[in-house]
Amino acid sequence: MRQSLWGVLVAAIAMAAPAHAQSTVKVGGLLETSGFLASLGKPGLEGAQLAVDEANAKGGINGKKIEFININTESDTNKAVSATKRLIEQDEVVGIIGAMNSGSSYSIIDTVQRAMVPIVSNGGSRGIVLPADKKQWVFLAPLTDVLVQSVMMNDMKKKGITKIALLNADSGFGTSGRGELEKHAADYGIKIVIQETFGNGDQDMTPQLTKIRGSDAQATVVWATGPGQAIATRNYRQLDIKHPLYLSHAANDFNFLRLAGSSADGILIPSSKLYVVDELPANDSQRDVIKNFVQQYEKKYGQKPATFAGNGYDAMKIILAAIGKGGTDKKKIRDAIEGLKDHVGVTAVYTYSPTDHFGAQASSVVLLSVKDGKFVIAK
Amino acid sequence: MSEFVQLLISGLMVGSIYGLIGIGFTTIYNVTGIVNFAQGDFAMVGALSAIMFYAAGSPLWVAIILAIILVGLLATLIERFAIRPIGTHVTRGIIATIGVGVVLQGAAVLIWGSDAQPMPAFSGDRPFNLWGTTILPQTLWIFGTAATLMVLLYLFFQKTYPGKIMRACAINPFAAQLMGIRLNAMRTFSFLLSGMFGAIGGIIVAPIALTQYDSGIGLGIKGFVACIIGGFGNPIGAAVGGLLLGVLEAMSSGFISSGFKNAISFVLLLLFLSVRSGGLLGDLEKVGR
Repeated sequence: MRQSLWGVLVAAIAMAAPAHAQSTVKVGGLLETSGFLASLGKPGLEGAQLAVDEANAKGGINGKKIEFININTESDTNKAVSATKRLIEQDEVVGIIGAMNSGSSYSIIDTVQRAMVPIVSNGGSRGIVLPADKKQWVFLAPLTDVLVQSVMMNDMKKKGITKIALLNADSGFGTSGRGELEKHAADYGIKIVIQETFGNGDQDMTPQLTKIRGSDAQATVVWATGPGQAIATRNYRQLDIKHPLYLSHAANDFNFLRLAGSSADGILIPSSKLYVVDELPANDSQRDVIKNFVQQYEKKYGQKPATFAGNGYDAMKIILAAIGKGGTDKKKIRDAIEGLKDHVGVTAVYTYSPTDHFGAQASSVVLLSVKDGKFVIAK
Repeated sequence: MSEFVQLLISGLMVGSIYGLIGIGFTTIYNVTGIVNFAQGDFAMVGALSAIMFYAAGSPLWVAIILAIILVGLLATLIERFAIRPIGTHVTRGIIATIGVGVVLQGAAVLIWGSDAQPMPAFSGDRPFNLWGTTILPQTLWIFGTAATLMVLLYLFFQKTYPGKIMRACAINPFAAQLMGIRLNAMRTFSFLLSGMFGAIGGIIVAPIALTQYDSGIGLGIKGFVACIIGGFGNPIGAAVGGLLLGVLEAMSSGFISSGFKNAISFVLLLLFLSVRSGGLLGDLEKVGR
């Protein structure tokens, strides 16, 4: 028995299915529709597809139809690398939409750099495109942790909060957020007095939050994705911790609201304007873009778009805009992405430059709250 | 002090679930010798189908009972069509259960999607205070259900005739058959029991932990570790192992560092496998294993 118990600790999985080729402009995708980030990758894929459909309905880009080839990377870094190689070598794509998984995004940098194929990544952490002069072919579309944290900490400063607690997931997103917060907090006169971690599959964060409750923190920041942040929010209310709770932009998602229920009321989220478009002033440049996106998405998929659908849509739109300027030459497409100015997307307004591959502008980030189960702009 | 109690309660709660999953392992193992690696997925299917029945309009308790029965039946079907054709070969059976787990997760994505799902608490979400700690009513449900089931199962195996038959099948299937015991019927019965235990574990924790298609993997691993700690095949051992694991995890994240939490379970797993493979309480009257 002892032997068989040891034996069964080892298991293996296989994958892969072939793709096909055609004479259109091909854009590759690495979005994960299974694995632990499937709930991000799936809407991301739908958003990207929507952008392609819109372009093709208008007769394509420069008269050429866009063919979108997405390979499911299963939230797995190894799969991401092999999928990238296949897209570049077999399908000969001119650009790639990256995976939602930060880890997957990191793992393919080397491959795309060497093959010289532009990629617009959907990963959440900044390191993916840093330093920009060494990663000329890699761009980021979603809001970055530093960008949203700057908005968050400005709000803390305004409220006179100087001591905070940090609870982050041990995922790529969580640890990157932790690193950036630790690096920049002092700039705002803020000190992290206690830091705790939880695993992505954990069922209960009460132990960590109990510790935080016993500290002298004036606010708590939870940096995580998926159900983990919803469980943490519920536990936070159960432990009856009174001070403000800030979550990351990953909580700007209606799935989070569904999971967190009434616990979410009153939380603060620095994020995009996607869910508060009706509150935006008429002169907001993103207003019409977001409205159109929400309308088209609901028409096609019969439900409200998740934040990640907006990310996929933006990433694809950026590549398509660059193809519109650069044609089908990969180098020219790359240059065109780097030259984009005030490109209005769903998640943000993008301006890239040789030193800035993040693109998203701070003015696109608003501080949200939740009231009666709905996102509102925090007052 | 109140911090310690809070951690203890959290640990016991999570540990009860590990214990229930562990008991599910025990039930199948005691009859077939197979370690069912789809055990955690039984919990996942149980929780998600209870949520589905509830969403379809049935009262919560009806939804829960339906889901438990459904998973029980599903487990017997798995035994009949995935395990029995392999024969009594233990290692092959174990590998087959890994495959079954993958199939269950895939089916769950197709049926329920990849998003996590919430489930309403059995008796309200309002926590109450006790000696400076906050406790959810659902936590009491988990304690009560786990304790009751653990005791019942122990009595069943030790004191009742069918329980003894089940153990006889595990100790020597050939001799048991010679004594007129229908081995296949007992195997099916063990899967039925185990499926229902798994479903109950998944359902009672669902209001606290949220469930998605891959929630079963983590639960399954922790349940397995609970069994190893307590002694594989011993339901009381699985319960004790689960509680111990849960409390150790909570205490280590509370007093040392939350980063150590998962390391604890795997260190314990390796430690027990190499130093004391019989676990704390040892096999249940098993010789030569």
